Amino acid sequence: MIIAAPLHMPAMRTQAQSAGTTEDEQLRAARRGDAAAFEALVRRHQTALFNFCVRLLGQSEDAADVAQETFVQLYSHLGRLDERDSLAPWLFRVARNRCLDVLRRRRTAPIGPFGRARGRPSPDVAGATPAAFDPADEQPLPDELAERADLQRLLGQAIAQLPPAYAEVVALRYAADRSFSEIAAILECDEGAARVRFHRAKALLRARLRHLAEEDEVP
Amino acid sequence: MNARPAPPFDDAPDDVDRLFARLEPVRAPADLTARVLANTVARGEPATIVLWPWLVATLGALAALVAAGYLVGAQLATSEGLALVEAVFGDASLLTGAPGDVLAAIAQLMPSGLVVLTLGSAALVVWSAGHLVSVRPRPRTRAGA
Repeated sequence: MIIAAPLHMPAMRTQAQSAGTTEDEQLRAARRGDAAAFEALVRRHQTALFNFCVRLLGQSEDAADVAQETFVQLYSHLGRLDERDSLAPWLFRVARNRCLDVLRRRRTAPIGPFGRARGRPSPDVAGATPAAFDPADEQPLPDELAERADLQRLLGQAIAQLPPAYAEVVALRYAADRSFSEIAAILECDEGAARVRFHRAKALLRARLRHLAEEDEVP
Repeated sequence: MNARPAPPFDDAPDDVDRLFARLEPVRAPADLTARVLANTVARGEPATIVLWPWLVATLGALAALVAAGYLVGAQLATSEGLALVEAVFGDASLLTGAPGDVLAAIAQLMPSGLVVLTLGSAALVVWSAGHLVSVRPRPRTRAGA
């Protein structure tokens, strides 16, 4: 059982004190053993990080585990991080690698009772192989799509069914709200390459959304 | 023709951008922060694991082990000890036949202080190297809880 253990650390500042400071101040304080500062860092980044993971993995339990492991890794790397650099690219890079490990493990997982491994549907089932899309698809999406009651499910499904190389860039942009320069830093490529990948991903998303919408309309 | 080439991508939001602008953020689990803290600060381990004292201790112990081993070897070479060790290894029946005599002879020829130093530094190498590889936070995941 996981419990929220109380923090008894000497000279511990309150969360309110740490939360009001900048990220580099929190990083410096956390490095000195200030538990409240570390907690403030976790709270500062956890929503964006969790949203990125949940959209990439399509499943919230694995996403929570990845987010937790990422912050534990942050704690053990506090002494090696440069407080002049933004923490977010480092965190997203670690989370991304861990998500890709989870996806790899799912691919090699034994076939379950529903005929496929848990999580990301197999490309054949979802029709999500890159070859199944027309990358030049620029036709506008049907207007009624935005009015659908199950829009959130459709959007989540559309991202999670993309090939990981495209899902990660879409999740960073739409779920974690990262700029292209941040995405480039996370994916360790230049900004132009990040934009190219995102625009290709959008073409796949467009086709995927149309496919999902049509699929659900069939009686 | 002096028209500049169009930028490769238009950053103006299109219908896909507008649709995904409606994507609602998912709330992180309420216990996520608690889980992280339980695996880090609440474990009582230092935020920054200081490895260099263990590294220095390991290197110091290794140096002591090498020096003590060399001195033991040199002592054996200058005394009759090396011949005795060779004889024991060459004929195991010496040890099985009269183990007390063999051990007494070895104890007489071997400098006990150096032997203690060799064994002590070997133990120190194992202990400090063990610390070097084991000191890091181990996360407890949902499955391992």
